[in-house]
Amino acid sequence: MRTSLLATAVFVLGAVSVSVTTQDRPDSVSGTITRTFSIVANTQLTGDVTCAVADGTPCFSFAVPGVELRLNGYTVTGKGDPVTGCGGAVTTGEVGITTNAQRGVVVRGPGLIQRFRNHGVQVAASDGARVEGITVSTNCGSGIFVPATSFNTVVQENTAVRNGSSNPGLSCGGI
Amino acid sequence: MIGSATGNVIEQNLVTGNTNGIYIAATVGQNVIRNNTAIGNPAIQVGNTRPETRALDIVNLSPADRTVFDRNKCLTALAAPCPAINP
Repeated sequence: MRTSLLATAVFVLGAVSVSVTTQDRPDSVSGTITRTFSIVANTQLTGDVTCAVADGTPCFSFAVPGVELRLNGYTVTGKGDPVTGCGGAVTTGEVGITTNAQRGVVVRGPGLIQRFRNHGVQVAASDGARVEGITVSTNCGSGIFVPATSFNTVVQENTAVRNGSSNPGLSCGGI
Repeated sequence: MIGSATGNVIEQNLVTGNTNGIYIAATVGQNVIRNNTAIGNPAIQVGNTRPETRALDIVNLSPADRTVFDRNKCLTALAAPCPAINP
């Protein structure tokens, strides 16, 4: 009985101590994504990416601090209608890239983030994040969104074109 | 767009044809907006057909002196300087 309890305790402690750690080997991604891509290492695009993730979920989400997503000149495309956009509405949570409260992460261009039904890039609850050299276009929220919970962000040398909702009162736009 | 965040730097960006260009909400911290070009927000088509959107190149809703604006180029703004732009 005591052995069984000990084994159970070890199992439980092991389970709760599991956390995401930075992967040593760089990652690469291209093609169609059907689940949110968790960034656990320096990651680069090796081709265009089409995001077919579940409604209301991000395409890319940082899962560890201090790593970089390099777009390498490729395009990341969301589920917004190419002609009508979002008809003024935004879909909560459906962003292109979220920093997901990770410290010191980088989104680096050149590259295009387009047609997301919310923000293109969301710097969410992060300290020291950088968004550099990308183009954000036709996203239904803001192209690059830096909310109240983010500090010491650098948003530098980006191009924001045709982002935001046409609905009056929505506080969104390029940056 | 910045909420009540601190220490953020928005610089050397080109922002055009968006609903708003650069939108700063009711910020409580110190942030810097410098060397950006924000012109044509919203696009003339939106401005003509949806005038109720009332969007601008730079919208600054933060308390006075909390956000630093330096050498930005814009044509329309609320509580942010838009220096004259020569043709």
